[in-house]
Amino acid sequence: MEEYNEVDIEIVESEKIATSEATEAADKPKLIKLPLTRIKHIMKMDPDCSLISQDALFLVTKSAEMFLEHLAKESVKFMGMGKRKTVQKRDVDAAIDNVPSLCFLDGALE
Amino acid sequence: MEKTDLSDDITHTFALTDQYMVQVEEMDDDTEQLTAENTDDSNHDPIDKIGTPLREQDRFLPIANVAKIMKKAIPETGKIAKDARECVQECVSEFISFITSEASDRCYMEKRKTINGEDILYAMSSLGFDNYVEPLKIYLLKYREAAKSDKNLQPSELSFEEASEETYNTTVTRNIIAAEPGGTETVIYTYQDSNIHQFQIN
Repeated sequence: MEEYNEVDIEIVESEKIATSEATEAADKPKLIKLPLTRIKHIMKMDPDCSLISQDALFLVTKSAEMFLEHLAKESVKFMGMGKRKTVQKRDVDAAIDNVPSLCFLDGALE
Repeated sequence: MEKTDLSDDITHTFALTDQYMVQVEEMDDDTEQLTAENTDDSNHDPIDKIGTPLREQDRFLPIANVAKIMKKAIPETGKIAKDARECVQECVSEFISFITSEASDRCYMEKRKTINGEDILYAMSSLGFDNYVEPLKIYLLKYREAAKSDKNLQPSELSFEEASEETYNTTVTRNIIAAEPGGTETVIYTYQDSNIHQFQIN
């Protein structure tokens, strides 16, 4: 007959908490997916840009990620219309031409 | 790789009994090996104002990262053509430059030298990316929490205009310590960010 004394139960409980939290943490996505150094580098290419705070760098990185997703999603819409499964450059171009917030890219690409 | 680094830091911190040791580690991605300074460039490459040679690929974000993020946004069965990936890669760099330019203009007008978080958010808003602002503010709070718990010191560069007392307390209470009672061994479990550390005391 197995006997569980109070101490054992406490240990098991605390282990459970630790494990579930660890699993939860492992499932959490990374906060930043793009390299900060490279982004800082791109920002510094602007001659008027001198110093960048850490907050600013983070915000630019995060917004770049959001922009990437946004641009991809808009491009997909144009791909869907052609009933293709591969996103092609012309889909991206179409998104640039049709989405107001993406207009700044018009003519900016070589 | 990140997890190992963090646990090394924590072990080091806990190994010292009386001293409060601080490990200052850059939030930067350490895998970024291809910086302009490290490479062996020939003389005819364009040099930027600080004197380091600029390479074509340094203007853009790594294609692998770009592709990964794009993949999240497209349907499961979808694929991305190579030219589309490259196009988006260029677009993101343009976006970064666009925001930076607007933010630095504002800074210049207000006679400040450092671009801060507020400038970036303002630039987003005025350039038609207003819908990014609210989520970004939330991400920023998370980032500050993470930065505080990693560095274990008051980040002097971070501006505190939005950080509240609450945020700081949340960070502190995140270290959950479970001690096993009884016996000669005491094991402490601490949870910090994405790592679970186990320490045996005596």
